[in-house]
Amino acid sequence: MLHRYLGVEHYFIGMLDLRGGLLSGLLDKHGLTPDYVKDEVRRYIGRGKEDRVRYTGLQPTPRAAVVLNLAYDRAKVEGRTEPDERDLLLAMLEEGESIPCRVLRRLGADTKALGEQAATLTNAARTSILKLDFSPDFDPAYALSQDEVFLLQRMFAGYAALRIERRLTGGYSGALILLITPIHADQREDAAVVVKIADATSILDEERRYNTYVRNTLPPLTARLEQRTTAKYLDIAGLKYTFVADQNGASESLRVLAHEMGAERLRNWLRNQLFPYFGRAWWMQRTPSLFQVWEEYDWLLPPLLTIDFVPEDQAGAAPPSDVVELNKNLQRGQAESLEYGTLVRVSNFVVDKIIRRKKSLTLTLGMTNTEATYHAYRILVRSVDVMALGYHRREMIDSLYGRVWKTRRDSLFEAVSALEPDFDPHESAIPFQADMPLTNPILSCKLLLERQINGAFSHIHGDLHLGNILTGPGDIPFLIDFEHTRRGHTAFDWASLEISIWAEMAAPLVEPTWEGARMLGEWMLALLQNRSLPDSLLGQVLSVIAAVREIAELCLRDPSKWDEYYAALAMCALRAVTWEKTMGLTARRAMLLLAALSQSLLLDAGNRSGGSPTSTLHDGETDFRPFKDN
Amino acid sequence: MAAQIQIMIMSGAWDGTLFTFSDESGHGTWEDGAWMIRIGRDADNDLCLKEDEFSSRHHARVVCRQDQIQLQDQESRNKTYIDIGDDDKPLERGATIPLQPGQLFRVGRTWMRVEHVEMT
Repeated sequence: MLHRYLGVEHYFIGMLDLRGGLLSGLLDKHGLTPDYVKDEVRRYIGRGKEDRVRYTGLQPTPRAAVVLNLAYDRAKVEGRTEPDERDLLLAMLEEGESIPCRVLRRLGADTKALGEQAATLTNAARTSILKLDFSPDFDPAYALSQDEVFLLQRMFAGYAALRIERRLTGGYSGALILLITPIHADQREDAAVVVKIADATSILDEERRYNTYVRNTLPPLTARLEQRTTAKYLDIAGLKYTFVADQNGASESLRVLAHEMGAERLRNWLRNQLFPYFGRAWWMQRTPSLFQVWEEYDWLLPPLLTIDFVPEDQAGAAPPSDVVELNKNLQRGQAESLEYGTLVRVSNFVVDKIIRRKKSLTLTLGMTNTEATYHAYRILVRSVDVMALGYHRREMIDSLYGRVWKTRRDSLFEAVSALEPDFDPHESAIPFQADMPLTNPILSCKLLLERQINGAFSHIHGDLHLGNILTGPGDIPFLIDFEHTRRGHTAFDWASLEISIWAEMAAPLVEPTWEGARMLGEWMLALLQNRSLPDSLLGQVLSVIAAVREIAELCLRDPSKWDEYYAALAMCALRAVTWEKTMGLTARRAMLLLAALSQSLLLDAGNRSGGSPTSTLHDGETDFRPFKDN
Repeated sequence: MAAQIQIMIMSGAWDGTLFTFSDESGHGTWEDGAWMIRIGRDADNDLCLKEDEFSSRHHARVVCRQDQIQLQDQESRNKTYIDIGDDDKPLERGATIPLQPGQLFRVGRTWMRVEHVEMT
C-alpha cells in the first residue's frame, strides 16, 4: 500500500490473508468476504505515493502500539509470551477506534458481537466457521482436507452451513467434484450446486475454456459455470456450476446410472440423447484436419523428461560440453536418449503449471497451433523453490538447469511394472494370442506420435467419461468438467468414453488376473473383427461399446476409414495405463492390451499399404470394422 | 479570551496521537472573534501534515467560536471530507460547515476529529 508506517489496518489486512484464520471465518459468518473488507479498508485509507522518500524501517503508529500492548497483555493473562490472532483481534475490537473497526461499522458489522464471538470460539469451531453436514450418500471414507474446507468457506461466504450431498465423480484427473446444498442461517436452503475443486492452474484453465468454447455452445438446459474462487497461498481453487435436477433433486452420472439403465436403454440414450443434444454445436460441426498424432495426443502421456532443478551457480561450474541444451528444436528421440543424471539446460520453454506444495514446474514448448499442442513436449522440473524464484505461469524460461531424473519411456515402463506383468515389458512384443503377439505400445508409441492423420476437428469435451456425463430431468443429458474442452480431434471424446466403459463396466466382470485382462483383450479383438458377442452381462457391456463406436463412426472424416479412431484409442488407452491411483489393476492391464492392439493394427495397416512407419494412416486400408449392434 | 482545542489523529503515521493547541501557547490565530487552527502540509500551520503528500500546503481550518466549531476548506486541491456515517462527503472548495466534536473529517489522507474545545 506504499505506506511508510505500520498501522492497525496493516495488521488487520495481514489477518484477513491468514488462510483458515479466525478473522476471515468470523467475517464470513457476518456475510462479509475477506476480500471485500480488505478492499474497503484500502479504499478508506488510500495508497501512498510511489515517489515518496525511502524509509529504512516501518514503525507502528501510536494506535497500533496501543493495540499491540493490549494484545500482549491478553497473551500474558493466558500464560503466553506472544499474542495470537485472537488476542490481536480482540485488542483491536477493544480499542475500537482504529480504521478496521470504523470500516467494519461502515459495512454494517456489529463489532461488539464480533468481539463476543471471537472471545468464545473454540479452536475446533475456528477451523470450520461454516458448518459442514454430510448426507448419508456421502462416502464417509473421504475426508475433506483443511485446504478444501477453507476453499468451501470462501466459495460459500454468507451461508451458515453446507450439506455435502455426495461426490459426483472421482475423475481420473483427481479433481474433487461435490454436490452441495448451501443453507442460510435461518435454515433456508438454496438450490444445490456442483462444486469442482482441483489445482488452481486446472481451474483457471477450465474457466477460460468454458468461456471460450462452452458458454455459447451449450444446449438450453445444462450445467452452467457460476463462479470461480481462488485463494492466496492455496494451490487449489474451485468452480461452482449450476446443478440440473428435477423436483426430487435427482440427477446422476452415468458412472452410477449405467448399470441401472441396462445396456439397451444406455445405448439408445447415448445415440439419441447425448450425441444429438450436444452434438449439434460440438461434434457434428466438424471440419477436415490433417495433423500429426503428437499434436493432439502428446500431452496425454507422461512428461517427455522429468528433471531435478539445479541452481544456476552450481550448474555454471560444469564445462559446456557436459551440458545438453534443450530448446525449441528438441526432438522426442533426443529426450528419450538422455541418461539419468545428465545435466541439461532448458531454454525458450514456457511455464505451463506451477505447483508450490510439490515444488514443481511444468514447462512446455508453448506452441500455439491448438490447445493440445500448447501442452506438448512437457518437461517436469522437480525440487524447485517456485516461491523464492518467482516463476509465473506462461513466463518464457530463458535458462533453467536440471539433472535428468527420468524420461517418458522410464515413466511408462514404471507404469507397466506396476501391473505386475507376467512377461518382460522391455521386449518388442507382448504376449496375447499364441499366433498373435502384440506390438509393445511403449516402444512403438514414438512411431505413432509421428503419424499423420487425415481426421476431423470440432469442439470436444476433452474428458468425456462416465463420471462427467449426467442425466437430468426427463433423461436430458448434461456434461460437467470442462477443464480440457477445446477445439480438437473429434474422435478423442468417443475414444475416451470407450476407455471409461472398458475400465468401469467391463473390467469388474472378469477375474482380477492377467488372464482376465487377456479375456477382455479377446473381446476387444472380437469387436474389431465384428464377431458375435457373448450372451452375458459382459456381452451387454460390449454392446454399449459398440454403440459408442457407432457414434464415433458419425464423427470420422471418412466413415470407411477407422484409423483416426484407433489412433485416439491407442493414445487414450496408453494414458490410462499410468492411472495407478484412479484405475483398478485389471482395468489398467486391459488398457495396456487395448493400446497394444490398437497400435498393432494401425502399424500393420500402415505397413500393408506399403508405406513407411511415417506414412499417413489414412492410406492404410484397414479391414477391422466396428461391431454393429443388432 | 482563552481558547484550547484537542485534535486526535485517526489515520496515517500519527494515528492515535492527540494534539493540544491553546491560545496561551501561541497556537492559532484570531479573526473577527474566532480562533482558528490551520491544518496543512506547510510548516507554518498549527497542525502540520508534512508527511501527507495528499494534503495542500494550507488545506483547511478549524474555526472555533463561542457557540460552535466550523470546518473550513482552504481551496485545497484534494478537498476536505467529512464522515457521514457510511460514506465520506467532500466539502465544496472554500466551503465552511459546522463541525461536531467527535465528528471525523479528512485532510488529504489524514483522518482526524476534534476531541474537546474550550472557549472561555
